[in-house]
Amino acid sequence: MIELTDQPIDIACVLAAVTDPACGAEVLFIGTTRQWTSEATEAQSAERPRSRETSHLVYDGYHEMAMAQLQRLADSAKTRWPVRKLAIVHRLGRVDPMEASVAVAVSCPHRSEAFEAAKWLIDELKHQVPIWKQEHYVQSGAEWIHPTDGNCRCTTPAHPLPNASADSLARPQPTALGSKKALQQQSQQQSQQQ
Amino acid sequence: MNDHPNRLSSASLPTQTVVVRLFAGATEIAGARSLTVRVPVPISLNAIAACICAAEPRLSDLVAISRWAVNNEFVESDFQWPILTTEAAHEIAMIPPVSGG
Repeated sequence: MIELTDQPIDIACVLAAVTDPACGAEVLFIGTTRQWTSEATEAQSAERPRSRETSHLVYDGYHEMAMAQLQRLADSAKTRWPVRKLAIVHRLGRVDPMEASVAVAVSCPHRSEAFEAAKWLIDELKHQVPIWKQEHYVQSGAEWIHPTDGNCRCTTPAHPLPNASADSLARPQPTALGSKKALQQQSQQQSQQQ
Repeated sequence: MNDHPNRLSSASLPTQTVVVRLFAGATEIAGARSLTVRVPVPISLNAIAACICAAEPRLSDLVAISRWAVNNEFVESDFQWPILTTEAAHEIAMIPPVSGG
């Protein structure tokens, strides 16, 4: 079950999609829209207010590629862990606070592999799937979120993932365009001037 | 000389029109879901990126941190097409850092 939807995610349906008689463990992750983002959870500049209130999110997606990438992640997860069934559903369009933006569910014979597979899937989704959120703030306007390495909050796994060397879905790096250095220098100069 | 599109006069390099799909912040900046640029043949992503920056300088910062996709798959920035004699049958997309989840 892999879906992009502009409707509320039916969590019971997601869980039902992974229930399997050979599995003693189903792990379900639900990513919800945060209403309040505090400094403690927002590793960005100190210029921002202590806590910002989000009115809602709007998700944009490259639909065809997002579906293809989700399928690649699903296939990859099944080669890494004994995943029997798997479900990933992501919202597009407007999502209000406390609503589910994304649901990831896996079933495995045992819990440790189910936890690992679900964590890997949501971590990879956040890097590999062309979906973007636009934060609409209660106080001031809206902005598209384009995280760079400096504000990525993913942690390095304590243990290397199985088959990590054979992974065709390695952690992405921004493309090294010819103009990139020049642009960085330019933006550094601008920030120094400010 | 004939009128074949890729055999223009020696004074001008052959070029081809390429449509690049845009998303999220790039759409907002460009005010459009795609951008059409003329790039030299053979086409490379680096050349497309440079043309986008020239056509819409306000996209430059985002171009610098974006990845690229061809036919729904990420490709490296040094990706280059073989010489094309017809319209590019490839869907090209600029993928700014993603923020799903």
